[in-house]
Amino acid sequence: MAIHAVATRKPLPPHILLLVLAFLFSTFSTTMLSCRKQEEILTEGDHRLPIWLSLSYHVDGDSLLFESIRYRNEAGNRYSVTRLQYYLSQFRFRIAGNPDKWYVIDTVFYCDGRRWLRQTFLLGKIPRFRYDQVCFFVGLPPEWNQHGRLPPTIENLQMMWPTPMGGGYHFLKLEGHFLARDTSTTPQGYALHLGTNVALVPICVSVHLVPNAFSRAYGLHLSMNIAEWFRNPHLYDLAEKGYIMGDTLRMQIIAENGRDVFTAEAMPSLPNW
Amino acid sequence: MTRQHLRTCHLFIFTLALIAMLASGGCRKRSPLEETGPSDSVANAYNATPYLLTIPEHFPVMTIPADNPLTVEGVTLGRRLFFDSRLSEGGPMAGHACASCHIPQQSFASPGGGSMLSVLPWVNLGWNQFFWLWGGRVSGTLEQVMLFEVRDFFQVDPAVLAQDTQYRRMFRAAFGTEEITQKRIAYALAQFARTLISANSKYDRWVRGEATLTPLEQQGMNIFFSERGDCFHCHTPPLFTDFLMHNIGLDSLPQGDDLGYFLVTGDSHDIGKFRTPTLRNLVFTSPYMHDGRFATLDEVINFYSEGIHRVPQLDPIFAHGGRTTPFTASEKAALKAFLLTLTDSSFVQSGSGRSLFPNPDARPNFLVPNH
Repeated sequence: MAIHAVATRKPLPPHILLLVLAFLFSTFSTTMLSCRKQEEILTEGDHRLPIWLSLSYHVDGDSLLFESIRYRNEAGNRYSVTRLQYYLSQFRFRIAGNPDKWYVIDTVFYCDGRRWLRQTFLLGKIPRFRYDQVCFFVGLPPEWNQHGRLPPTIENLQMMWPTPMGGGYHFLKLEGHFLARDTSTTPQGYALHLGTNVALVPICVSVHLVPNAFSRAYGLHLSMNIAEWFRNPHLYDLAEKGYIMGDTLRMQIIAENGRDVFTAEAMPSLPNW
Repeated sequence: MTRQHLRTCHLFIFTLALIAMLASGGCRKRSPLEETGPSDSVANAYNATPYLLTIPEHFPVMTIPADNPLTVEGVTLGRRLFFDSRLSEGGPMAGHACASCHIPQQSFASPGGGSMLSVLPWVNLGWNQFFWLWGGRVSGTLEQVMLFEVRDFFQVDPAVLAQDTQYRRMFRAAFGTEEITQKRIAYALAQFARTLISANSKYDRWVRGEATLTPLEQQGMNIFFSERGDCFHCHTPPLFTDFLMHNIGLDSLPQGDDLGYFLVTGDSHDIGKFRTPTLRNLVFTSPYMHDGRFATLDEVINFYSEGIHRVPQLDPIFAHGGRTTPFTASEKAALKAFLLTLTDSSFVQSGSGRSLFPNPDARPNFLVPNH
């Protein structure tokens, strides 16, 4: 039947047939070329791999337990942590063996140690190289630290630094209770809040970052030692001043102490990521 | 051109077209929708009309759960349920509707009395992802707290509502089925609650550049947003709450209901903690605090000035000693003036509440159990 139907149809004029053939050929070749272009990007071009970041918290090796006055700093304060909220921003990755070459992820990440005791998230994608150093900020660089600059999420709004006090955002909220000395019986509160551009905390950590062969991703783990906020280079006594918002000098002291709060390690495996 | 030639030509064209189709399909990136296939979500199971919620510009983004999208039909149903006392029929709150305690004219709140807790307002609830009720008995989303209200507080019997043919029609329109369940009741209430947005106070108009604050209000705002008052850390704008639990030093030795969040967790660190209420529409929501212990705003300000008890669980923000001297009389007046700029009269008079309230002038005359 089919053959019969074809045979009885009026034949197409040769020029129409040529046009149809030309159209189909151009469609086919364009499609194939665009496919090839994609392949080239994947194999030879800017080949980026995801990098995952995980965060954890401790006090000189003991896992951080919130709401418990069990830690002691060098100034002799026994203290707890009740709130730990902060921003990490502008991650920069140094390509190994090429100290002048950095790859930057200019994004801001909100972190809450109490809400997510071990927070894991996708930092972004970085070109496939070996990296030997990672730098970033606790806080926001000036271009981000402006009123209304971050998306209006509940978290960002709660981190806002009031305009009458300079505007922008809190970089860090570290709060808790403390007993000033061993003989003290009544806990007091402390609220180490950092904000304004003078209190930005630049951090650089050495780490050997290579992509995981199996998952084709990088894994970076940052661990914050809370104790470092209270020592090195400045011994900080909470009894002298436990509330520093608006005190530029003390904010700078805490910011300088903050440069060593993180240690980094590459994650060889990415469990459950 | 012979028949044989024609057949060959057509076969060639067909083959070429097939190759082109395969090639283009092979390298085309599939959209997520294609990868997941047809959605089986409730939203696509029927033709409910999307409800276009207007979020004020200076407000945060609102997260609406995928399993309970806002629809005109869902909001309408939720509004009817809100005012219907059949919701409580046969339960411990028999005879009461949600609106009996969340009174529209009082910013969807109402005072407690005696040993009864006051009722927190239904204002801007769509942004709360944290703690609910004064004592933090529920945490999570609006849907979760509405499930608590329906299942545990009212103990709603869906069969009561199912006797009403109009309700069955409304549930079909909202959820694609006439089957009435506690979950669907809660979800409809959640949809209605999301529409109760208060964002037109003088403060809001000032933020939008449509109003000017008086010098006294401006002074009050500066106190509010500085170390001197330090109100903003918990009463964070524009919602003027952080939805979190805090001990603000109300009692030196809390007992009974004053133990607050401790009654939920049993953790001594949570003694005396209560959910931060919004400061919006304070003029409609007196008396103040969970037990209504302060009749006026002046009393509240006096408490923050010189009445805080230095208990071990006192929130660090209060315990820091940043403000070592009480407010002066002029500071108190300024703070009060600023707090009154958070009054949104249009909200309590809006159609979402008053016009649908069966008897707008009626005042509830009953006690509300703690929850």
